[in-house]
Amino acid sequence: MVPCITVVDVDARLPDRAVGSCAMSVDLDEFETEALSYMDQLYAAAMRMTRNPADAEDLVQETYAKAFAARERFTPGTNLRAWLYRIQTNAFINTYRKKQREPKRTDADTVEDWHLARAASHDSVGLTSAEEHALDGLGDVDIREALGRLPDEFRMAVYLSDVEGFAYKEIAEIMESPVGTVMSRLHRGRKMLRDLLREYANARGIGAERAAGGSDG
Amino acid sequence: MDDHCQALLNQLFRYIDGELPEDEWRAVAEHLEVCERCEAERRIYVRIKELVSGCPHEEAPECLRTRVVNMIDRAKGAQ
Repeated sequence: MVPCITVVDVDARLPDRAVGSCAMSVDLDEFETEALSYMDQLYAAAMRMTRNPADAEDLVQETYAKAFAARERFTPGTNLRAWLYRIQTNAFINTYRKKQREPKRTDADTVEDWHLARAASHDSVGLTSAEEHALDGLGDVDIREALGRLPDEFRMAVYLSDVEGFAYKEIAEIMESPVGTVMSRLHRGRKMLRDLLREYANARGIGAERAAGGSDG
Repeated sequence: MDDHCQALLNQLFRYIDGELPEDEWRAVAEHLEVCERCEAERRIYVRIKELVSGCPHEEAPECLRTRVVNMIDRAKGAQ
C-alpha cells in the first residue's frame, strides 16, 4: 500500500481550478467540498463495515466515484451526509459483501420478532450493577472487537445510531429498510453487543468480585 | 417482572435514542423513577451506547484523500 502521512489540511491540498469555465462549476465545487469534508466519517464507518483498511479505502473511493457520477440526483439543501452514507452502505452490501462471499446472515430480522427477542426477564439488581462496573473496565479494543462480531446489518444500524447520531427514519433511508426493521436491528444488535461485552468482562474476571458480593463503592 | 416492565423494555431503545413522542416518553420516565430494575437496564444500555460512540475513529489516510481528489479532478476534466 502507498505510505500514508498525517492529514494536515484538506482544503489547502485541493488543486487550483479555472473559475467560471462552465456554469456548473460553482455548484460542483460546493458539492465536492462538502462531500470531501465527510471523508473521515465515511472512512471510519467503512472500517467498521469492512473491518480492514485496504477494503475500507476502496469502499470510500467507490462511494465518492458513485456520488460524483450521480450528483445530478442529489437535491441541494437535503442531507448530503446521509446521502453519502446511503451510497456507501449500498456499495458495501452489493460489492464488498459479495466479494467476501459471506452468506447473508440477517434476513430473519423481521418486524414481528424484534419485540420477542428480549422477552427474557430482568437480571437481578445485584448482577446488573456488577455488569455496569464491568463495562467500565473494558477498553476501546473490546468495543471494536465486539462490534466486529455483530452481523453486518446489526453493526451498521448500531453504528449509524450511536456514532453518527442518525434518527431512525434516516437510518431507514440509508439502509433502505422499513423503520421497524431498523428498530429490530438496533434492539438485537445492542442485545448481542451487551452479551459479548459481558462475555469479555467475565473472561477477564472484571466485575466478577462484584457479582460475588463485593461491597465497596 | 410485570407486564409494565415488559412494555417498557420494548420501548427502552426508542427512549434512549430520543425517538419516543412526549406522552410515551413521559410514561417511560415515570416508570424508570420507581422501578430500579428497569432503570438499571437503561443505565447499562446508555453506557454501551456511550462506549460505542466514544470509540476513537480512524482518520482517512492521506493517500486515500489524494486518490479521491485526483479521481474527481479526472472526472471533471473529462466533462
